[in-house]
Amino acid sequence: MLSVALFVTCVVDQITPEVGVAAVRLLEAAGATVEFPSAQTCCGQPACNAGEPEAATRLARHFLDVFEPYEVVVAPSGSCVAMVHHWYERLLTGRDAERARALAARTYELTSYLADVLGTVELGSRLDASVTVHDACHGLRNLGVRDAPRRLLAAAGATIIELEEPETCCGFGGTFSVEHGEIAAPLADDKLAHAAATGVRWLVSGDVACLLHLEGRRRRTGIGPEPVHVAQLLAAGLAAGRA
Amino acid sequence: MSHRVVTAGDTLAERAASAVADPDLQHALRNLDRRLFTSRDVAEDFPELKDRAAAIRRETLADLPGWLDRAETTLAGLGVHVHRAASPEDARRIIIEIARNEGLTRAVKSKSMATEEIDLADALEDAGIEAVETDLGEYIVQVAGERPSHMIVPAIHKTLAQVADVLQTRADDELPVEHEAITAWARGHLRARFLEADLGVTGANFVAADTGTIVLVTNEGNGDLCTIVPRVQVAVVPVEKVIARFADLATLLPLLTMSATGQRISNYVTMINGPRREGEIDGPEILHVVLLDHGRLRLIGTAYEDMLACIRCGACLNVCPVFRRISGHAYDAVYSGPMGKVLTPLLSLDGTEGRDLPEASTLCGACTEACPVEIPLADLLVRLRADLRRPGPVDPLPSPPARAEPGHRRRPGEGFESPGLHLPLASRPAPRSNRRTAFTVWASLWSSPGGYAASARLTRLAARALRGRDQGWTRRSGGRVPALRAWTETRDAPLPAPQSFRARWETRVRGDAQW
Amino acid sequence: MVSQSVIDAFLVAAAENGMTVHGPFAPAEAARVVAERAVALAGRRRIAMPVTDPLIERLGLRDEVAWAGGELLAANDVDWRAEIGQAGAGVTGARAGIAATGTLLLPCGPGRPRGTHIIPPAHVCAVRADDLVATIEDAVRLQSSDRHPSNMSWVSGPSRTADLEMRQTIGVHGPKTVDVIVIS
Repeated sequence: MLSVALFVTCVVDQITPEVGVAAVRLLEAAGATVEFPSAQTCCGQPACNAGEPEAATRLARHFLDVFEPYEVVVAPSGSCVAMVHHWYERLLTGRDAERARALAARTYELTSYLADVLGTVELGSRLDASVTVHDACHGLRNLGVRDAPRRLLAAAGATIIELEEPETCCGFGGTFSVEHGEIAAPLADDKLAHAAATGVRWLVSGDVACLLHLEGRRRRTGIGPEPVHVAQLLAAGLAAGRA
Repeated sequence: MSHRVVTAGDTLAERAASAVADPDLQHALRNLDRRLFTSRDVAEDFPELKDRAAAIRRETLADLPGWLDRAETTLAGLGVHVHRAASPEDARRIIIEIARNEGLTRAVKSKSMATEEIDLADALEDAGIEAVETDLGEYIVQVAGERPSHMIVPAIHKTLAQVADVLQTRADDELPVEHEAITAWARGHLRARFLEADLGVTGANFVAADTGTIVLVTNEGNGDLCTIVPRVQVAVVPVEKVIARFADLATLLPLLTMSATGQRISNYVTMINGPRREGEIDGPEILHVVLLDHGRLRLIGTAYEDMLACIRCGACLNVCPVFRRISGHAYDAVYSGPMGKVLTPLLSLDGTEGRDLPEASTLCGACTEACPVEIPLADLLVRLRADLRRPGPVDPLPSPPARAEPGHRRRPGEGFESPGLHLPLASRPAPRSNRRTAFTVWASLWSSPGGYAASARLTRLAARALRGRDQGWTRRSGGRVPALRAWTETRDAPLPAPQSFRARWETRVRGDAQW
Repeated sequence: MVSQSVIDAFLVAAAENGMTVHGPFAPAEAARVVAERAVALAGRRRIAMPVTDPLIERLGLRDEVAWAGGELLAANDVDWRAEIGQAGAGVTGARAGIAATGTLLLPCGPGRPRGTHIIPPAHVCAVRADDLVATIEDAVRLQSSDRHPSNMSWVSGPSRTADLEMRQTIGVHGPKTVDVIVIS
């Protein structure tokens, strides 16, 4: 039996647990057994990107300790997985760096694990919805996640209408969105306006942080379709698929 | 010096806010959006060209001091006077001395970021030498008393009407707000300057060490014109512009123009091999090359060495979501956009310039992806954020031996730790600061499940006290939490969910809930 | 012998760059067209021309231009430097052309001033089909096999700028027109 350790990420754990629930349901729909290592916390990315490598390194070591026993690690976030893939081996030294490389090789972003690794795009989800996809930056550029969410959505029957510049950043950027709200907000407005121009019901992405930034802005301006995590939308279609 | 910064403000955040709120600027910047292209659309062989170029650049950089010596010898053999300038001050002094010795009074300049870096036009004017920019965009910003806002399109921040207003100060007749008419006026006006100049100032896109060829790339032809009439030419050449072989141009030239403007080749490529020769009737009689270091050579053999591979194409600016919104002036630096955010603090020998620039990035990686010579710009920004926590200039550590290819010369005292591995980011302690303390506390809490759970409980409690709560969101300021306050200026902030994922997972494991 | 596909590619690329392309013509016809174009473009102003350019010599272009009614400013005239700014057209012979990019290679030398192609408002250039190369790489190799002249200009169209609102505008500093005559 296929066993997957879910790294739910700290943001999903604390702010949008429904995305984690959705990830579990999708993995189970794909035939996997999901385990949740309860000692998990955060990948350390906030510290790394803030220029605090010592703090990031502590979190990286903790992540290694927690997830090393598992054969496959899956997270509903391209950004956190990119942290493991790209930065761990640069933060850590010696044997820890080796461990990091080995663990990164079996750590996957959720949609790409389903579509590319398992090769399962048909999960039994049925969506009668129009969507547009925002390619979250780290998943896209560090991991090459571009087609996987679209293939899963298309297989579920969603109508995908591409927005202008799907690969342009939404303006979140971690500490940037706090230190430079004056730029982060107009970038969110651009993304939301491009999404609004497609006339779809949902603005789908694979990273919760981008979605919270976009929704936070949308609640002020009222412009744009509702941001939603790809896992949540696909999982919502599972019930319709069973009916 | 005395550049008027159109986008006003003391901090980067203030200048960015003013740029975003400037309707003319935002209108002008749409022109950049419309012309946005990615190099991969230009030619099928671009990826191959890019790989080759990246390798060529790294190979040269590995022994840059050696290639500099070679270039100096070759140039001297062609009759070129070669100078080495450690700093912008040195470079300015050398050039003004040349002008004084030769009795030169009228200079024409072709566009060059290196001369911007050393603030040469102002220095010449201060020394009583008229210095006219001849690239149309550079001329516009010079007349306006500004800096270029984009290294390829210096006046990208101006609408046509604003350009006409600026140039009207130099025109006798009324200038129509019309592209062709303004171009025609500039042609006539600047033509006179070309024909009467006695000093031609240029940069160099490349200098080939094996042949001594100075290469200038332009579309307007002003590179040619600046090197035809004036009796003396000075080329200001940052050290990393030196390439090993003339043959490398087959790769680097098309790569530069494709990345800069989407052209397979620019309209004019000017290749200068020394001064005018016996029997020739035009071209400079005297040719000087000023090799400018300005902190660059100390980057060789460090993690920042990659930055010296930059060919100044501007591709990273064009794709940067931040640059596309605020443009160059907001950076208050000669080099803007992603490459400017990396280069400016590295070139700051006293550590005062560009310290806040690396923060102004979403780290989206579009720059890294667009860079035709594969500079990991986003990674370097992260590294700089860490290195800039220490006061003073960036003090780059030597990079690991994994990158030391054959031919790489170790400098004396260069110590390598953890053989075969990337040098860890966290190899040197940083001084205490509030942010650092916060992250240290955070890391010690979150590297244990108990600490994580405790801090999550605390956050939930604190969130309950927030005003303006609405279905998991808050609208109001974060009170004494600066990050929350900053966020909620422009966006509602999400609150912790009533029940965390792990709590829900536990209920499922206990059999209390079905998913 | 240069293949027809290289010649065709050069003609297409040069035209795409905004040059006016003529030929390929036999040498006598080519000389006539160069002279005609130069005279037409220069109007009543003088036509700047090198005196040691092998191609110009071989085509007898100075005589051809004189017959066509043009007034020459030859590179050995004592008033070249004073008059080049008033010339109406510059005529050059290219060392080579690059098919992939529609580029002309213009070396300078004694009797072959660097201002000819760039100072006058019109540029007329002759290039032999046999001197066309396929790629930039070929051109770089060709140049490496020659002795490098003190100045080599690669020209790929009329002078242009995109500095005003990123719109292409022709003729900012250099010539507004470039005519290329290919000699078979």
